Amino acid sequence: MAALIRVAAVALVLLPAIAAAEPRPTFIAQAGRVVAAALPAAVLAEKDVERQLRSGLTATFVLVARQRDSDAKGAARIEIRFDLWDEVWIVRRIEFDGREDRQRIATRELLEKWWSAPLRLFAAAADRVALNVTLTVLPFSAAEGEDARQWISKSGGVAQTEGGSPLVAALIGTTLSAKPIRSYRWQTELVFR
Amino acid sequence: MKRTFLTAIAAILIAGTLRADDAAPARFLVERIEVRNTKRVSSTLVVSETLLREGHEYSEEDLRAASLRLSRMPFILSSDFALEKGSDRGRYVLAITVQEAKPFFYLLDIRPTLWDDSRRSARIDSDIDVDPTTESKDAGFGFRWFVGGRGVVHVGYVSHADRQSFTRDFSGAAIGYTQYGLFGTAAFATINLRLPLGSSQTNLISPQLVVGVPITKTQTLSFDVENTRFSRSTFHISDQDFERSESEQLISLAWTYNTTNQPFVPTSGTVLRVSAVRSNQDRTSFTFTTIGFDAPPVPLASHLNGTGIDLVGNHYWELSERNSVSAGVLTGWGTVRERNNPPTFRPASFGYRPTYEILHAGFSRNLWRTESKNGDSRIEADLLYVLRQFDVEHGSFVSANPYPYNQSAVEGVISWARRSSWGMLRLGVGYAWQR
Repeated sequence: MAALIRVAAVALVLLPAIAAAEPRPTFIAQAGRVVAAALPAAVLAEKDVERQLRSGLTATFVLVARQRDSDAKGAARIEIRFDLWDEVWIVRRIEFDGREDRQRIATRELLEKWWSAPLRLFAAAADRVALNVTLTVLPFSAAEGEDARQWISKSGGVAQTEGGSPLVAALIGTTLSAKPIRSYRWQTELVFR
Repeated sequence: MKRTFLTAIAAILIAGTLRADDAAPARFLVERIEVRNTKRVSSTLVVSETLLREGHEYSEEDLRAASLRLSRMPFILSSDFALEKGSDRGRYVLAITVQEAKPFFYLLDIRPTLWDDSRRSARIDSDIDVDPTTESKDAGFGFRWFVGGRGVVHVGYVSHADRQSFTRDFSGAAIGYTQYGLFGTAAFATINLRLPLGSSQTNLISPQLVVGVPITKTQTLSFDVENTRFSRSTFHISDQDFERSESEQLISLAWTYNTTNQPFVPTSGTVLRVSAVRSNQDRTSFTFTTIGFDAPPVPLASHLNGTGIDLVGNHYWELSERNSVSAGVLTGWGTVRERNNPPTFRPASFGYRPTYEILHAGFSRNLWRTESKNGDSRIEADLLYVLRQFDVEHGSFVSANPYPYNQSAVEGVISWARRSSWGMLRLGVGYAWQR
């Protein structure tokens, strides 16, 4: 019985530490009521994510932000592939408005710096916004999923123009048939001044 | 310090550059394919089923399709793909790490339906109704052994059921062999010897041959020939011997387009299937031509020819890593000719057209918060609308079922699906009411 109490006490002490260990991005209120997320490098260090990053194949990260009290949502996507022969990271990011950035990055340190740069994912309509944000890590590149792109374009009013919506481009990773490697959920509330 | 600074400067310079070919989808020249973590499954078989070949160049889309193909194999639970440096620049080794299923397998789908005919007095169907949207042809349990590079021997208990009303559904023991990679292609063939339940006293071995030919990474043609003997015996009555037998010859040809992520509990992708089936059934027995049994029995022979087409279209949407929804249409038509001699209880010639339409929508949720390599555990909720029609072309007879008929029912099913390295178990209950 005493042992059980000791275990429970240790668990109580460790629980907050375990909860705190879950990687959490920093959400930033930018000009023009834009919400950006600075992703923690700890995500890249997660065992399953690290294995995919080292596989020589693409790891796709899809960030979706949904406003809690409305249907508004925004999305952004990051793709990272380590070129085994050139030993560089080939990276791509697409923000909520379709702004795209592609780079070749030479070191892991610079990759983490690039990864942690604010990623714009949502445009708010008011000065205060509460968001549920999910990050899903998928194996393989989302760039070639033309079937999925067409399907999203036709469904649910998510996009009206054929293949032209930034949200479609960002969301496309979520319709890939591959099972997610890892996923995270966060909540945030921001005030724009 | 100076060295670190120079390295950082060099790295920043490289970071700013982007090759033109980085914008194009990457392609990888795979010089070798290695399969890892296999204990029972042959590596040759796994490679064969990916449809990837050494010495060819592939995109990530090709590798993703190969990964999905492996995920649909009943004896592989999951697979991880990774590239390694090959013998020369630009060449790669593709490493596939698999999680195998156990040699014992089961596929059990137990979902009894509570039928509410009157909306007041419900009854439980005495039979176990399998969801009409599932393909339960291979339901059963048994053992499998991998032999040679591309062969699998299996022994077990299987059931045969389809949605066409004129074909025979049965269960029985089976022993079989599947050869993958036929003639150096991705085709496979299975030979089964089956003993239908109830025919064991007559030792009627019924052969079956299934040939599958993948025509693309997502499309397969399959051909099935079955000769099933359900009974054969001699019955002695009134100093006469009568042969009593029942048999069915069944041929079917199916085209399947499948992009789902796994065979039993898919959460994303599409299945389209078009199949044509031909069934010839023969029955011999004896009958009495007059009521009261005062006349001697006479031999009875019945023959049935049925031809049908089945169409299946299901799509699965992954809403999140835990939730998915599905919707689909299943429909089929048949033309059946039945001949009876003498026409004692059934007409000499009877022709009818059975049809069915099933619309369904479903939701499923993963009970596990994190992705597991060891299968799935999901709660499923399905709503089905089932319409069955039976049009008489010619002939009529007195039957408990009025002909022609037009029956429709709505059914809700809640179930728990568990796929593990041991097999697939689906437990649930349905509630149906006729309209």
